[in-house]
Amino acid sequence: MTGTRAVATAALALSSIVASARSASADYKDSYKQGVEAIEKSRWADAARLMQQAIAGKSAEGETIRFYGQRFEPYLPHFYLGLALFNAGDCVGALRSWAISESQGAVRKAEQYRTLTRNRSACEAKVTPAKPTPATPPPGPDPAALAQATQAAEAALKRADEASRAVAALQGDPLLSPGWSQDASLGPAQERAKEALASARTKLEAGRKKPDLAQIGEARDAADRAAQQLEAVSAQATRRRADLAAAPKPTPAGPAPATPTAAATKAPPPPELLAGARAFFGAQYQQAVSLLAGADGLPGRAGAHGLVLRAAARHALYLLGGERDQNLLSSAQADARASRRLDPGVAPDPQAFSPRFVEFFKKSR
Amino acid sequence: MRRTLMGLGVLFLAVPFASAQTRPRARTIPIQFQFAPPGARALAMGATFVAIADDATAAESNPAGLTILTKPEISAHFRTSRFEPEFVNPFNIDATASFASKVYSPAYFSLVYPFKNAAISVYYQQATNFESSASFSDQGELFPGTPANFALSSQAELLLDNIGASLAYKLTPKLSVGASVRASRLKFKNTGETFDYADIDGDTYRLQEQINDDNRQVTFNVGILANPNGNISAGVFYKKGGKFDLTRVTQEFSSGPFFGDLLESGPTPEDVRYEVPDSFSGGIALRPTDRWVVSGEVTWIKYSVLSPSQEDLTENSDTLEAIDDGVEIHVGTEYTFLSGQTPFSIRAGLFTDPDHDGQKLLDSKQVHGTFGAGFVLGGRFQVDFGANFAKRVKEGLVSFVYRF
Repeated sequence: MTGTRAVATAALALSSIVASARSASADYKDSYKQGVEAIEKSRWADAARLMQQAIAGKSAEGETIRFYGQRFEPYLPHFYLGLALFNAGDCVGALRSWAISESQGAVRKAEQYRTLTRNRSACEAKVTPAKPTPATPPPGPDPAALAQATQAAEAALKRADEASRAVAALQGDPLLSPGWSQDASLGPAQERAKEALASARTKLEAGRKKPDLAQIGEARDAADRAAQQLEAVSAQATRRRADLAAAPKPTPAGPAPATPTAAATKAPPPPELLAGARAFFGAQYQQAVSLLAGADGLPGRAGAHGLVLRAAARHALYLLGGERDQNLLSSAQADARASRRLDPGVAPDPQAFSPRFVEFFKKSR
Repeated sequence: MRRTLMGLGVLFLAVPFASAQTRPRARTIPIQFQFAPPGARALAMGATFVAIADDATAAESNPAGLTILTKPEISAHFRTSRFEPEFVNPFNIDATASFASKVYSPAYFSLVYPFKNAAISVYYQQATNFESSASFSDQGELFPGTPANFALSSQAELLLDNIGASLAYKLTPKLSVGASVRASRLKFKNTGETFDYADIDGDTYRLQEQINDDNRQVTFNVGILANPNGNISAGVFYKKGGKFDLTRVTQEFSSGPFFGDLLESGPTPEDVRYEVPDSFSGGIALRPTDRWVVSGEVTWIKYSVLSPSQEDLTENSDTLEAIDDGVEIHVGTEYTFLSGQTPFSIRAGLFTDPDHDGQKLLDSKQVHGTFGAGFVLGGRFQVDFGANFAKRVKEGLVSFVYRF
């Protein structure tokens, strides 16, 4: 091998090592860096999306990230997600993100903490009714942060409970029940999700008693995981049921089909509604709009709920875009009105939706 | 004592030191041009910055790198240099001597403002601030029985500065381009290129060449950076040097019982052109981790523009030589430690510097060793130190950067 070839080979090998060493960790760092850049340029919708991507890669805050040159900054995706939501007018979402950030601790040591506390006060004034100031502040975590974190955990538990009920309904379906416990993606997955849900409840109770923000945050994370697992089971079961229903009928000589049970007669939520809800509550608003494109055609109350979610997603996009896109606002209003036509009693749950959207929905008549 | 005007007429041709071509004229002063990037951080990394270019000094190392910045920055850089150029002793061409001089420079000031996919920068740079001072003397008898003192001296101050504006644009997330337009000024003060003669009869003669002039030209630089700020990045950078026309004034003085004013002449102005070499650099930077960067680059410098004329080379073939274009090899590294949220970096590198003095009897080739350190206070205020040590130049740089 000549000297030149040896140098070239060594350079290539070094490049490969460098590339492989960094590719694994690059995604969440890149998302985070781009997200902070979007924050600096007041592109709130982009910032929220990029911070969600970063959180999906790594949720724990505290690592020091190099931006460029000698610019190093702490990894605080929950803080910045909260900041993006705050600037977009979603105080409930902002408070939820800041509660997570604060519970992890890293933000308390960063200069960003001043911004967090300042903006949190502004948010709390908007979303929390005024209460008399106690003579002496109680020890422990900030009561407002505690209330927000608890509210977020309860919302996650509620979502998981709803998914659990939907899964239970599918479990009783005569087409699915015979093979339910044997299919790893159904029965066993459902059991794991139930365990996570039970763990979330225990942590929430313990967090309330102490009180402990970190434990409440863990409860919320566990409930979120359980909800995602249950929604995945539900989607899988729905697909399996459709496959089985489309399969050829047994021959007449065979045993007569079982009579449907009462549980089986209650239709499970359509998968697109579940997927849309998952996207919306994961702050993937554009994706939620896409997934709920056919919400108007969903049967029964599912159609109304789908339209509420789509209205909320469009409303969030309108806020994140700096309240400039009037088409988005009109579409959100149209969705809200359409949902009422399908089900006059439908209304967004104040625990799950921001006060601003709840107010918007009320006014969209 | 018998002396004739004819004897005086051949005086400067008869003795080697007095030949007009072998006097240390300005163009043969071994000027130490400073082609290194302007910042202390870059200097400490072996003056390798073409493929890194991630701070406010990018405008003069590779303006394409300005797109890496996402926050406005201002920077100020100060340099102290000690030059020790080597001269051939005109009275004894087998001997050389070095003369030290020290210069303090406000080396670089800049403002960078990034936009969505672009960035602009305005800056002032003292690219080269060079001083040298040399003097030689001897005693002898030009005319039998008439002992005399001979002296040759030269003082030079050369300043090359730029007022520039840069624009950089991110063509794609993986490719940026940038360019700067500069009002470049060459200011040359060569106050004592002088030959003195004084004998015991009281006759004196002085031949003096002086330059005290400056000239401005529009020059430019352009750069390309691939995968800016990535784990592997590569860059190329071209810098136009410029041609500067100055006026040199030659004057002769004489006095004494025999010379009287017979040898006086001038002042005679003459146009001379000084050309600052163009340079072209290509480099690559690797980031094995977020905290460690290794960089290398090759710089080609068109030193041939400093070469003596063919006529000079022919007439002084014993002492002068042609100057070829030169190639510098640069390597450097930076490692950053974190103390809490405060980054603290150490840097080191080296680069080669080819022979470009045009003197056959000298070899100005040298290797520069560099090192430095830096830290960032409060995530915004960055301070860097850099040092460069070579046989004929020692310099220290301190840089301050503030991010808004």
